[in-house]
Amino acid sequence: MRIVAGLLLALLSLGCGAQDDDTIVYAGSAWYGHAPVWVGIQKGIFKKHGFRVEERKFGSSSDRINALEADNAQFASLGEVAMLTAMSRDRRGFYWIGCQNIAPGNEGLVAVGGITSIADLKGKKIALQRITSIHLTVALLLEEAGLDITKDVTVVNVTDSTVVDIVRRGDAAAGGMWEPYYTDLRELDGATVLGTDKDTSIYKRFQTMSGPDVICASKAWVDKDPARAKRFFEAYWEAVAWCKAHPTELLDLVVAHIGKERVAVEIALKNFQWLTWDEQRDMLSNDRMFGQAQVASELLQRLGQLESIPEFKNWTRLDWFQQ
Amino acid sequence: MSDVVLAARGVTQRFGELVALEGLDLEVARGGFVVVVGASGCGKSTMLNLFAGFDQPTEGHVTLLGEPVAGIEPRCGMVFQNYALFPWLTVRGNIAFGPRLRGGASDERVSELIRTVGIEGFDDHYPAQLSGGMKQRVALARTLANDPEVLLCDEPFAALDAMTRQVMQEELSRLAAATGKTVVFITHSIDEALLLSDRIVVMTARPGRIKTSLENPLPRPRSAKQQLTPEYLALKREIWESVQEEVLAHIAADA
Amino acid sequence: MRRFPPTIPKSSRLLYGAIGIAIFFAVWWILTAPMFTEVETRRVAIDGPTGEVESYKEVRHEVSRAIVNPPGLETPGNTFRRAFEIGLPQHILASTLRILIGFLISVSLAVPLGIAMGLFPRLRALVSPIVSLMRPLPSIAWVPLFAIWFGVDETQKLAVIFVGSFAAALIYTVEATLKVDPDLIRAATNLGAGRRQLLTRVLLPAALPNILSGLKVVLAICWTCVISAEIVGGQFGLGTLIWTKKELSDTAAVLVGMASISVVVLVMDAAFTLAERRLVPWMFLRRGAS
Repeated sequence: MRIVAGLLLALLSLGCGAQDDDTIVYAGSAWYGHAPVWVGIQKGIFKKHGFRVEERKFGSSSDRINALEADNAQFASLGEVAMLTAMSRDRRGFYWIGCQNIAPGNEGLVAVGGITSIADLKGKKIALQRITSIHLTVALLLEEAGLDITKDVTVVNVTDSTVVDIVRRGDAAAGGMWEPYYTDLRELDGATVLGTDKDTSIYKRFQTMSGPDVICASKAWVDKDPARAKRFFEAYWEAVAWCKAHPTELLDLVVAHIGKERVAVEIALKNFQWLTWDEQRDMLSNDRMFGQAQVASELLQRLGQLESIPEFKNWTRLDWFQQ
Repeated sequence: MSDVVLAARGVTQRFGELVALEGLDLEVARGGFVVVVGASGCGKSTMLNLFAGFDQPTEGHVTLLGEPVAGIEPRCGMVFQNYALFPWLTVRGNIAFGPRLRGGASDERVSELIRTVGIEGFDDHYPAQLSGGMKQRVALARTLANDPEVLLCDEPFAALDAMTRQVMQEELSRLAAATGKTVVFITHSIDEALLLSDRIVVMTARPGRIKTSLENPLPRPRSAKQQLTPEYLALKREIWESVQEEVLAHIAADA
Repeated sequence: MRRFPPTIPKSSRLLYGAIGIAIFFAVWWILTAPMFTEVETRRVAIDGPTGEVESYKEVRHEVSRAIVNPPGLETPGNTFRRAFEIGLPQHILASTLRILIGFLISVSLAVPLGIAMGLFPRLRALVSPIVSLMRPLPSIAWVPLFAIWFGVDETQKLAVIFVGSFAAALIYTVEATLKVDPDLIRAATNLGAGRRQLLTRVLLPAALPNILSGLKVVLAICWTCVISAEIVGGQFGLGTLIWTKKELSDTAAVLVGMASISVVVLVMDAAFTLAERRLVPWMFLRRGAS
């Protein structure tokens, strides 16, 4: 009986792709911000440092937080907004390690059907993925044009490529999404870009996106062997540094990985500013990410998505970056 | 001849390979009460279906009042073993069903039928609220409401308990006498046949034919008491022997 | 055992039912209410003179703990308090309307077609294979396709409800039609009913009770459809509520949404039974009762 149960479990874990303890699972998606992990795996950087990394796709950023807290994944790149909402709910099962890139200009609001200014959107429907960076971007863009996202427009909540279908069908007057879907939106007939995250007040103050990519890690995993975790992230940021140093090779690799048109990937990657291990200390400061996170939290609170502003600094491991 | 209401001449009925009836001849006189007995599977119900016009014979023909039965024949009213009452209609609704198809039924006529079959006071009950015997009374009244020439009864009392069955048999005898309707009645109970019939017809095993036809001389009104008279027992033995041969033949054919 | 199956009087049944529910809530409360405090060490970032993080210190922090602490699970009281904060009536109304409309569209096409299929074996043979292919597909499997075809508006939601319920409604109707007692048809023909009269006066009323009990199951199926369909888009709807609140880790709101689905399904089921009592009263009669 026990043998049968053991066999079944083994089969199940085979089927689910479960690995032994040593494998570090990365929770990712199709977004360019995951490129360092693709690089780290394909260029053997993790292997060189004695780590085995496997990437798994997790739909949304909040799913990735859930995976980290359950230690189903050991580290992840996700949107800052999901991280902030989890923090405000006092979820303590993860660390905010750092910020691997800044890539403003890769998400924006696109209108069709003859709408050429944000003011024209009053009373119309906007398709976007709620409680993500694009939600903040659109809220800020509307604010600059004197519109209130909670009152003057209707937000239709959609995920990923669906936003493109919605706008194409005319179910919404405008759509907001990040790459690679932002490119698809701009390619629609009669598409007008009403603004990107570069046009927001957040960008003007902090030179970051409205909700930048962040790297988080499972607290259980880090606390088990903090020294090893630190070594692992040094290896990860070595892959980030590789991205910065080899833009052409990176382009080839990303094109091969996500199967999009080379031109579109190239334009998107041009916006990417990769941030090395040494730059993390400066990024995680009141002038940059911390300041930005504070402003973003306040905005989320105004949107009714956050009950309290989290003490996000308590989730960080800045001690790793001090030499 | 003019007194023959229903007749089957040289009727053969095949269903593919199966020959249900072969060369069946039967005449039913006006006002007669013919009871057909036979082993199960002898084609009794097939014969009734031909009389009602549900099926057409493969060979031979069935006539009603001298005219061939070509389609469904409403003048041959059927009474089913399982009552076949419409569960969504009340007693009145069921009885008025036939007349309403042709434009309407007078309430008085329905009330009269309700009295005739003895179910006064149950006018607005649904079939689900009635006992088996009551249901069969309603079914009888529903058939009578169409004022048919012939009543075709397909083992109508087979599902009733013995006591109720006896009451119903007496009721039917009384009704048949009072209305003067011609009745063709199918059963596999020889007692029932002896109690009800003017004439008893024994059918052969498949393929079905008429084997014996004998007049029932027992005086009316009949009752359970008569079942102990030597006359009754002699008749019963005669029919039983005739039927038994066919039952054995049927079993042999099946084996 | 004197009687099988063993039964108890209705009053006891209600009592035991109430006790069962009370036990459920009691266990929930015991598991989630703060029962004891635990000291936890937390990292706190310390800002230096420049206002930037300079170091961390470990702070001992007293936390009220329940016996179990799944993320965000709160006591029954707090959970139901959420119901008033999240605009529940609007969500219930949105989903209910979608279901009613989708159900009516599905039924108004499936019932006539199903009856026709019951009556015409060739039509039955023609349509059955397609229906057999459609039926095993869970409604959620249609959501991505319909999001592409129909967007995220009501059309998409009604389409998901339609395809998720149509096959079942059709099959129940065909079965109900085939189950009609052939003796009723024979009796009616014998009484002189023509084809049209057979259909309207015998077949429809005879098949109606089974069609209705099938449609009751279909109505419940519609609920699974609408919850799947509401994964994408929309402002209101119980599905939208639980999917978006999950993104916010708002467990209480998710639970309130789930409980509402249960309650609304039960209420709809009861309403349907009432309607059945009116439409097919003869099915609720017992012998001797009037």
